Amino acid sequence: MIQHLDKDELNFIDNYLRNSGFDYLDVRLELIDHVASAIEKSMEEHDLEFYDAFKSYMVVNKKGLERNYELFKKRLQKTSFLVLGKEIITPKFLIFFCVAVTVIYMWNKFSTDPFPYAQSVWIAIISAGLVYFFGTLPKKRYRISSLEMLAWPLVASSYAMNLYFNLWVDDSYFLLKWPLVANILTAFLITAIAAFLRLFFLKRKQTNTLLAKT
Amino acid sequence: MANSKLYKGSLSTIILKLLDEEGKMYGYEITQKVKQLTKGELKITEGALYPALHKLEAEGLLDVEVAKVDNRLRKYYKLTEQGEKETVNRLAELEEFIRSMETLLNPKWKLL
Repeated sequence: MIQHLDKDELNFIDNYLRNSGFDYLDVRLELIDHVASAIEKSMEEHDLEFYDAFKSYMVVNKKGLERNYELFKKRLQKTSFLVLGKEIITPKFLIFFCVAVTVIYMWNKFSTDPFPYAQSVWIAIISAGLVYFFGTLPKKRYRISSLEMLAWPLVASSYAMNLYFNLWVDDSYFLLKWPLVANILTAFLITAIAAFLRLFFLKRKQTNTLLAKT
Repeated sequence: MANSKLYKGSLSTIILKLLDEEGKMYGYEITQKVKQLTKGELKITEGALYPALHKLEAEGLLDVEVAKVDNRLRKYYKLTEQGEKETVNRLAELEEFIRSMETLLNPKWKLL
């Protein structure tokens, strides 16, 4: 009958992986199960003690595990924008975008003052930054890849907005000549931030569920 | 052991096919099933398996379920609806590839 590893032995594997640079908890949890399953099988087949089975496994497989982790980190960076992009083109955010364009358009049409482009978007950036910072702060011990991947689109959005306002917002000629372009760009950037916030809260919920099970 | 480079391009199709047959599986189980089916000829390493699983998940072809088993968390993978359709397409592509390879390696000579 197969002997299952106890909590101390599983913690040993977890600590070993963490000390070997496997930082992300969500990825590490999957590896712990893989390594533990392989060790249990080896203990049963070769009648080995835990430590001997662990050592034999790592001698043969550690390089493969590290390669897997590096590939995962590279893919994480590549897919982060794709994930946000997919969220933006969902029906609810397409509607959100159309509403934002309409609100800005109506504001400019009926208000005596032009739409406060810079102020509205900066409030959104600061809110997103605060949510990200305070949202991840309590979990710094447990780095979660799906949360950190959202940092990339956030940083990129901030740079895009910074560039946009540095180039155009003080240029009344641009706003007067192409008000619809300014309207659409601003609405898009606000939509991107809103999509980021939704993904952030979704991933936070998944993370909390994961942590509750550990 | 067979030359694993020959299998590399078909790894995601192999995973999809197994999940189509078994319903849901976890990483280690997939490696063992492949080893068993190929009588030890093909051994999938962690370095190849998990990047392939994560890629299929990111493409929306796989869904993930997490369950607590034997004091630890286990991630089960299963096909999404899109994944089921894609499995049919990829298997057809693979079969076509195998047929082409057979034709290339064993050409039937004809007298003109």
